[in-house]
Amino acid sequence: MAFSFDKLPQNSAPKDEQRRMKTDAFHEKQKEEKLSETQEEDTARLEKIKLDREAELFNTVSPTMERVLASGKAGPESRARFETLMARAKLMFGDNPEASTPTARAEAWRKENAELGKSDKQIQSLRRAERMQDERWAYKNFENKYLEAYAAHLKVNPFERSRRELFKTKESVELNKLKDEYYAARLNFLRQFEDKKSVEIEEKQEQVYALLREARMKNESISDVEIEDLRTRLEQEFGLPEARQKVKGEVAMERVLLTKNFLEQNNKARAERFSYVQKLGFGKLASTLNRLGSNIQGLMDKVPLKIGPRVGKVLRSVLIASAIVGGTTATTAGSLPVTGVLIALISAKSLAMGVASAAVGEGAGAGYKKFIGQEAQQDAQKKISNYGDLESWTPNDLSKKDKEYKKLESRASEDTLDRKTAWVTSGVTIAAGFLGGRILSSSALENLAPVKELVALVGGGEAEALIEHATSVAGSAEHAAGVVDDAKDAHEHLSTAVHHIANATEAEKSHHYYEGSEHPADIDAREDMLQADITT
Amino acid sequence: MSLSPHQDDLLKALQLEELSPTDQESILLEMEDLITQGTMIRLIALMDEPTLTQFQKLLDTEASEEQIDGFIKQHVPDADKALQDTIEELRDDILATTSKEHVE
Repeated sequence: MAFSFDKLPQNSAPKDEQRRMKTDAFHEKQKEEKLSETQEEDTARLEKIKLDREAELFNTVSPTMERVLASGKAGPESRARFETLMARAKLMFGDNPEASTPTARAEAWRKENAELGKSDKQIQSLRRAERMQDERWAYKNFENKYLEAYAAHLKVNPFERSRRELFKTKESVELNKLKDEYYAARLNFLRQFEDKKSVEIEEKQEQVYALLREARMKNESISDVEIEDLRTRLEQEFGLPEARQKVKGEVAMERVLLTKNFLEQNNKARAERFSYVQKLGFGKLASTLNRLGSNIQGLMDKVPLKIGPRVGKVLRSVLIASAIVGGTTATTAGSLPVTGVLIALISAKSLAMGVASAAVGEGAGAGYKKFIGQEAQQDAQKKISNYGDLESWTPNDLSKKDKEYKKLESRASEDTLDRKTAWVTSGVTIAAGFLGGRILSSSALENLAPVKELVALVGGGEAEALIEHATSVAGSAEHAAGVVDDAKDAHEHLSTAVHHIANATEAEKSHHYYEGSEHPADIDAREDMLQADITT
Repeated sequence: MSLSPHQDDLLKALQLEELSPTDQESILLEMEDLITQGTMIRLIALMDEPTLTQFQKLLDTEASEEQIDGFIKQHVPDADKALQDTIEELRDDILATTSKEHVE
């Protein structure tokens, strides 16, 4: 008897109308995408998009790179990268150095449109729309290529059971590469999408700034505090908070819809391996799949999930920092932050490990691909300062963090460019170590009960394994030495914190800790409590 | 909207807590759909022909959720792994699009 998906009981909870409309609109938009008809068109457009991206990158990094190259401190990899960019710029703009900048190119484009009677605002809007359209086309292009390759791969690997197993096979290297290209294109599209959606915010923001400038001109004695207060009130009046929230929502929704679309396509490729699914069509399957949703939620509900508001806040900070890092390297090493969150659906243990591994893994992945020289330092400081937003930092923590900054800066200023990048990576790792320790310490001070559990979760071999993972990721790069050293420092730091907290917990449990007592056990216990806080 | 602890944590992780409740709910539902669909595909793939036939018969009897759940647990040994694989795939995909800087 043939299997029929339409025999599955119908979902009793229909999708809400708004959601359905959003999904439908998205799929309509997808259908409208027109891909190139020939391979030549395809290649040419991709090349143009790539040049646009490199032009943006060039514009961003060239001032720093020029300084570094002039100083003779650039490492071979950085020098090669910059020279490639310069060669690209030359290709795009010819030998005229005056024109060899994206700014000059944008200016030429602006003049061309201005001659057609378009205002600056219209030109800027057109430019944004064009970039977004290009990036949308690029990600769809790579998505099609990947899905086609994936379907072909499944045909010759019918017993493939999971994506992880799939990517172990030698012949899957090309497929994996295609997927990386697809994700790179999708990220670039989302960036352009957000940029275009932010136009309204930028306009309002500019109006606010104009009024602030006017206020300062009319009243020179106005204080910074008063200006800040005025800025807040003006932003409220112009509806900026709401506008920002709206953009954030639209970007988040677009991101989720892209994820949904891509995974649906993956599922379709898998489903098409089965003759019964082919006969029925995927639509019927999709219409009945929600049926088991509550069972899956039930499975999740059975798994203990112990996450407090503090850990939730920490996780969010880690994710924000992760978002700042970006790049392929971070995608590899930084997969750990999201592991820390989503695997939390499965187990509390994984969550705790996720926090620790997020911190360490992110440190290893950060900086290598994107951050160069002084920009790298600045970004790292900004990144680390995100951790500083945590309400639980004590003066001691800040003092220690400050010392680490100085150490980082000092080393970076003495070292070569590539080594600087390594120190940035290390600095983030150290900060991550603080972060992990802080979680433990905070828990210790507020409630001793969960501490032992946390210590057990992150202690011993697991923490060691996390460090090994972080260093192995970084080890693929020439910066491995610096990362390894400092990752070990961070690990040692964390281990010391764990040790003190464990002792403090034991002291509390045994009632050995009495204020003012001169008994050696009490003195030791007080010392451990103190160290548990100071160390972290 | 009433959120389960899992959903609440997911919202925080994805930095969505400042969005409107409608948008939050919509995004969560989309993600739950993805998990459901991906898991179901994997479960079906794990069933051999006789098991699939049995499954079909069970569905013909207007089986309850509990019965379907029980059948899957009994006849599909790696059912939990199917769920785990789906979540891993979703996780990887989300990660790939939460990074802000990417130029190749």
